[in-house]
Amino acid sequence: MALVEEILTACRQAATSHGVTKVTAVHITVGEMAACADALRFAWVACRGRFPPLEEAALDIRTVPATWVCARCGAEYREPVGRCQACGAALPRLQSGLELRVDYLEGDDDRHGRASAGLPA
Amino acid sequence: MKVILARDLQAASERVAEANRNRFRQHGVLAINLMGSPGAGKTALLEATLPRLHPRYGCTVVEGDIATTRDGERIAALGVPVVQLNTGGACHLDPAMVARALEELPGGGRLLFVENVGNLVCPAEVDIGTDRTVVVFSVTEGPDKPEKYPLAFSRADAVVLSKVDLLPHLDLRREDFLDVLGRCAPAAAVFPVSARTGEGVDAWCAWIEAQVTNQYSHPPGEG
Ligand SMILES: Nc1nc2c(ncn2[C@@H]2O[C@H](COP(=O)(O)OP(=O)(O)OP(=O)(O)O)[C@@H](O)[C@H]2O)c(=O)[nH]1
Ligand SMILES: [Mg+2]
Ligand SMILES: [Zn+2]
Repeated sequence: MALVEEILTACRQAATSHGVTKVTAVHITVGEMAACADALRFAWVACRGRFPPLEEAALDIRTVPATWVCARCGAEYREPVGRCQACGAALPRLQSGLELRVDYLEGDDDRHGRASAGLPA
Repeated sequence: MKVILARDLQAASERVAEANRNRFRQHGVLAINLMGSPGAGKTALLEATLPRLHPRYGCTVVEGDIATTRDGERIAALGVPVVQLNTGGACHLDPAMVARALEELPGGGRLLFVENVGNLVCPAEVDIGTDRTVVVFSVTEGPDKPEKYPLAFSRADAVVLSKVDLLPHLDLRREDFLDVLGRCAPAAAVFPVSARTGEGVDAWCAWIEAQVTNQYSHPPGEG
């Protein structure tokens, strides 16, 4: 799956440049409309071993619900609607739910061993 | 230790879509993204369209499915170069998959059709770099669908209202569909088509030819 390739590439670059020899967890944000979290988890387990430091890295997914917002009155919907039920304006727009982001990874580096304190969150 | 990436993957995806688009420009190809519900008649529409356009324009096809190569085989049977993509679970094609498929296709064609995974929601959200978006919408799905899945319809350049040969068997009139499409897809050209009887296929093909001409402003054979 191409998305997992992108996550792997991002993790590989970050792990290499920070001297992380063993990644324990990768934290990502996924919008409900952007990708299927279950499919991602499945593909992650199948692909992570290609970069040995990621071999045992867990994929921690924060999902963001999809919301549609009326441009005229600001009413919010949890599913697509043809018209705003509050004011009748056409086609409330998708506002959130398309996120796809690698937030951070956690791991052991060759100098300090396992630690996650002291670094910005 | 903790390494902050804050890396937006969608931006990466947009870059790949842009690369696909540039590639179409360089090769003088018009690429059409066909989307619609499972079973809407996307492959049947291609089977009715390709025999008319392939001899004049040189067509290639990317077939997207979660699993199986059935649709790819149907296209290959027409003698049109086709690559079958299996998403292995993902409900839409992404631009990187399309880029990979393009590597496999022969050059020289002027028209590329991408049949997206049968789904009216996610494919509409993902830019794969194609030049035109077409929704195939069958009369058996019922006229409420454009209001329930407004994103796909609002972004469509054309809507093919498919399986119109079945209208006499339904308690619905063609106008019921045209009305709702006028509201939900006001910018789209609408083509009532039956892949079964051939009704409407001429007008649909003429629209595609006009898109090629608009994009490249010269007729086939001169590029
Ligand atoms: N009566 C009638 N049936 C049609 C027409 N077009 C397609 N069908 C039937 O509808 C069913 C689905 O057609 P497909 O072309 O496979 O649909 P699809 O959108 O490609 O389906 P997926 O790729 O699985 O999402 C088949 O049984 C077709 O024979 C049509 O114009 N008239
Ligand atoms: Mg099909
Ligand atoms: Zn409103």
